[in-house]
Amino acid sequence: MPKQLSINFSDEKLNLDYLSFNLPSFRPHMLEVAEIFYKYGFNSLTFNLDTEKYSTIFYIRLLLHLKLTPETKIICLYILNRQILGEFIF
Amino acid sequence: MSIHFKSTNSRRIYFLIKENIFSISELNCSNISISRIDIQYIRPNQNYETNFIDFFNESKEIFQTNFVGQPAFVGTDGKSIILGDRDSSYFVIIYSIESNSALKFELEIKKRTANKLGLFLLRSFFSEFESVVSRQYFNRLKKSLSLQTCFTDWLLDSLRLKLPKPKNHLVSSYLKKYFLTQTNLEEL
Repeated sequence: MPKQLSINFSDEKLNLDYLSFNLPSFRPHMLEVAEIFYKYGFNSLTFNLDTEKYSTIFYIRLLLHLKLTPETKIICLYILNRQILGEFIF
Repeated sequence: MSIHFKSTNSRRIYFLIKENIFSISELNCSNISISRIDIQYIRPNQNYETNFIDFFNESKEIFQTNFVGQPAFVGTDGKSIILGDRDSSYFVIIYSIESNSALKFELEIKKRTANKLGLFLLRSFFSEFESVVSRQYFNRLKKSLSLQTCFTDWLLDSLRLKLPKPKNHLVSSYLKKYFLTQTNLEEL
């Protein structure tokens, strides 16, 4: 077997464009997870499939009022100096 | 629960993980997995070539020959092509961006494949992760696209460099210099 060359993203000018993590049975810890990512500059949004609306967790400080339904998913958005960079499609 | 990082966010979180600034273990979740990895190449379109239709149609034909029964669609505006089922493990989408100044070649990896490749990332084997994901990307595009157009010149270059060299290939240093400088005609 010929030895395969190691390839990296930067040499090939490749880039990630989407990364999704699955945390099974972790819904009760959703706000803790959002808080962790907030420390690293990510603001977290929830998306409700029923209403098709996004709720920003830390901007509007609805920590106590956030309604978690089985359809709620968490989406992270990178912010810098409180400016939202880029858009997201779900 | 799933957490999605799109576009700039995905590159940012990967950078943070790779540079050991953020550790996935901070989430304290034992059975975390990766459910989707998108990888892209953006080919600048210096000549502002806007007629992608031949390239797309040829690619559609090649894709449907290699992946029988899988859907393939060229966008009605002729600026995009979709190859595969969005819910399958691999899905290719190519589209014109920034007013035709570039063409984006994207591969979405999902399900068990993403899960398996993601293990490298979760275990901090970043060079293996990048190598395997890149290889999957190039292999999928090679089987999906027409390689006879200017739009895939970058792909051909990449594929050529990755071909294993034959065992008995001619090495450029085969004729040593001293043969020419220190050997007399009779010996030659």
